[in-house]
Amino acid sequence: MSIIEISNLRKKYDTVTALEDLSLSVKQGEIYGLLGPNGSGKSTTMRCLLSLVKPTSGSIKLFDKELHKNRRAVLSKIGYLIEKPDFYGYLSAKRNLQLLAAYCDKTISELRIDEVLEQVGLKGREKDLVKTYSHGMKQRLGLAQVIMHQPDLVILDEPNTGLDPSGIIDLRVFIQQLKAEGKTIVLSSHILNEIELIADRMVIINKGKVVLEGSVEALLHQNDLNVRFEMIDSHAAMQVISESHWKSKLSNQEDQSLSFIITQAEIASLNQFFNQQGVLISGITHRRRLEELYMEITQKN
Amino acid sequence: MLKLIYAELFKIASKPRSYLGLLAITMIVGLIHMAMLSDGKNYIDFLFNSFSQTFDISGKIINGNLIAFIILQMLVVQMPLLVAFVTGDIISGESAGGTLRLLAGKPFSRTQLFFAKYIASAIYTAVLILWLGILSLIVGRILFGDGDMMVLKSDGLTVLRANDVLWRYGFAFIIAFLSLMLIASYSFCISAFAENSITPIVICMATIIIFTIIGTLEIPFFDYIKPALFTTHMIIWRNVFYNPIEWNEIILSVAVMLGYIAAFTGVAWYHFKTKDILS
Amino acid sequence: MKKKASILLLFCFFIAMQQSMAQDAKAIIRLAYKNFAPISDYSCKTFINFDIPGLNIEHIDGMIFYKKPSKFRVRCNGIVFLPKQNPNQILSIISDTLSFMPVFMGKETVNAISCDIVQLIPLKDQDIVAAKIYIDSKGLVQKAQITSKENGTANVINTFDASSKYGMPAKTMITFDMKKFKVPKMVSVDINSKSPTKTAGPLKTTGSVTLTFSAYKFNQKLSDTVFTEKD
Repeated sequence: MSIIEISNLRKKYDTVTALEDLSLSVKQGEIYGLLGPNGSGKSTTMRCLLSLVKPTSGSIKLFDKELHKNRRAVLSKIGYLIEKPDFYGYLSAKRNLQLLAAYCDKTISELRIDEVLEQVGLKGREKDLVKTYSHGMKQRLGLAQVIMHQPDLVILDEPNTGLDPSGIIDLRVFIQQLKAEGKTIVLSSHILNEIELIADRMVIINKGKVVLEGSVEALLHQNDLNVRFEMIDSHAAMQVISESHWKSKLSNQEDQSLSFIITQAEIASLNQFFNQQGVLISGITHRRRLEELYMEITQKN
Repeated sequence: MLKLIYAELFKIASKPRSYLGLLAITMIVGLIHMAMLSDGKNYIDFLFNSFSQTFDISGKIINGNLIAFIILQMLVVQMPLLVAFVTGDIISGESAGGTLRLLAGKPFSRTQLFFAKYIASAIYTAVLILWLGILSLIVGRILFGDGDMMVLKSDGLTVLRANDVLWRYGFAFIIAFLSLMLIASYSFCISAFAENSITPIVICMATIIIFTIIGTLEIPFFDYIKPALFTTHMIIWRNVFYNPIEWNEIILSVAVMLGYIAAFTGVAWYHFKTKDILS
Repeated sequence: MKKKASILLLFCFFIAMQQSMAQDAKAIIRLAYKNFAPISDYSCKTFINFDIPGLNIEHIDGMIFYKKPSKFRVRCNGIVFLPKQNPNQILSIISDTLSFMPVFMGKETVNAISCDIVQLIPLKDQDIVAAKIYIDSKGLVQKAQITSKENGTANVINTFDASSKYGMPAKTMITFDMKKFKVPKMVSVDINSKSPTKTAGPLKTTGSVTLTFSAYKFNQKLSDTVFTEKD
């Protein structure tokens, strides 16, 4: 069952098109990663899901219901944290949660608030004013706010930003726990590594368009690698290659290098072939195709 | 909805800036009370100098009713600032602080969120005016006693008998509340457009100052503009103390103020309802 | 010589006339004073009506207290504006025979009653520069016109009824000159007032206060504190 179904979503801010015909779907119980460079449209997509931003066209279905027609019912099942965790600095963490609980559809008990504060590791500091909190603590409070009404869908926009390494690990564990509880999680990042470590499925967005979508497993564990053989003169090597079966796997030629789309196992064979043909190889580098693709996108941006 | 109004009121009550208005009123009124207690007679002699040349004025001139009127008169310019200081921050402050996006994605409509904030602003405005009423009139009457009230106009003076004053104050405070609601709606409207809390306060005060200057200038050209300025109608509460009361003028001004309130609130509501929350 | 004699005769006649007019005026004043003479103090109820341009004030009830020679007080449960020329000035002027010289000025009908007009000329420098008193045959002061340096001229018209005693009126109307009142801008703050070209016509230049008296009580040995104690 799809929890999120976005079809042909388009959002235009004055002269800037933030989303262009974006379509994607998120299944129940999965961790779905939105990957893209800054300004690619990840946040706009999330804001559209929360009706913070009104799409110019297209449709959004959440829990099988049209968002704009069932706003209240749909939003009551969502917990979210968009961009940096901002709270009322003049209130304590607990007061912030009590206050935000008033904006939830269901009644949230004091007990539940204490429970989530415990869960995110803020017990003992809950009476301190939020303005005295570090970014990491605010992020924890943000997560407490996300889960306090026990949502079915959790939307987290770049949740790792500003966290230290242990904070990032804690967050990863936290998200895994949510998944274990059966919640659907959508999170965004501009760092591939973060998504591939945690997400079940992912989408790469660039300039408001979907570039690639699929299971992280499938995208990351493809056999094909982009392997670059460096040499003194690529033209001589090219002559050798053009008369062999490796020709079909050639992907790029530069003055001092040739690149091939081959498997890990084929690297040694091709290297041996070059040696046999008298082409001296000075170096071999390789990248996964996904990383290559993402690098291309970010470098262009 | 009640839950939302309570939450908005809780926020107002938790912000230190909300108490600045109450503190300012307490200080101003306290200072005026102190000054009148210590040197009120000289001040009154100065005020009524041109009358005392012709008349022997007897009776309790300095009393709570007169002091309350003088205080209200003096706070004509300050009160809107105190109101705008809080109401101008209600949307834009959350926008600037990033908390608006925390609320706008919750399972309540923007309209509900807007009116919860608006009603909370109205309650705050009512508290300010009530506090002013308590301090100026009730404390004034405790300190200076009851008595006939002299109402000063530039072209003369009206004396209202003590038993004829309280109901007028009731009306005056209701009309003054309406005037301040106009300011609250105006600053609220700017607040819905602005992304920081200083802009609405500055724009609001600048508007009041400019309109008041135009209102004070006795140039025939401005006579055509004055009826359209909301500041012209905001001081209509004073007419309740004239004798006989010109109800037509009051009703007209109240209608104009209600019109302005509806217009400002309508524009603010529509913009808030449809705007993209990008902060 | 004949001419000199006639001038002397005319002068003597003038002096004699003056003397006789003064004598007549004194007699008229004495007649009026005779009415007031038994009063050492009095109190009465009053109802005061105001008609003063630029001053909007409702009528009020109160008490009046008087004690010889010139202690006077209006006590009301509210604010009262009385012209500086209060009704008891007449009492004081008539009683003070040393400070004024009375001169008979003729007769005039006031309130349909024929009255003798006596001009009181101050004999020393004081605030009152002239007073014209209209006294009827019973010695009742029907009208008075008092001119002072400070306050201009005030007309006092008295009305008497059957219960009037000791020459005290049942009603007094004081008409007086008005000065233009000015209220300091800082407290009147008439913002949004219209430009001067559109202001209404000129204000009346005279005002009046009418006092109706009842329940006179005479010679109660009023204490001085009645005139000094606070409301």
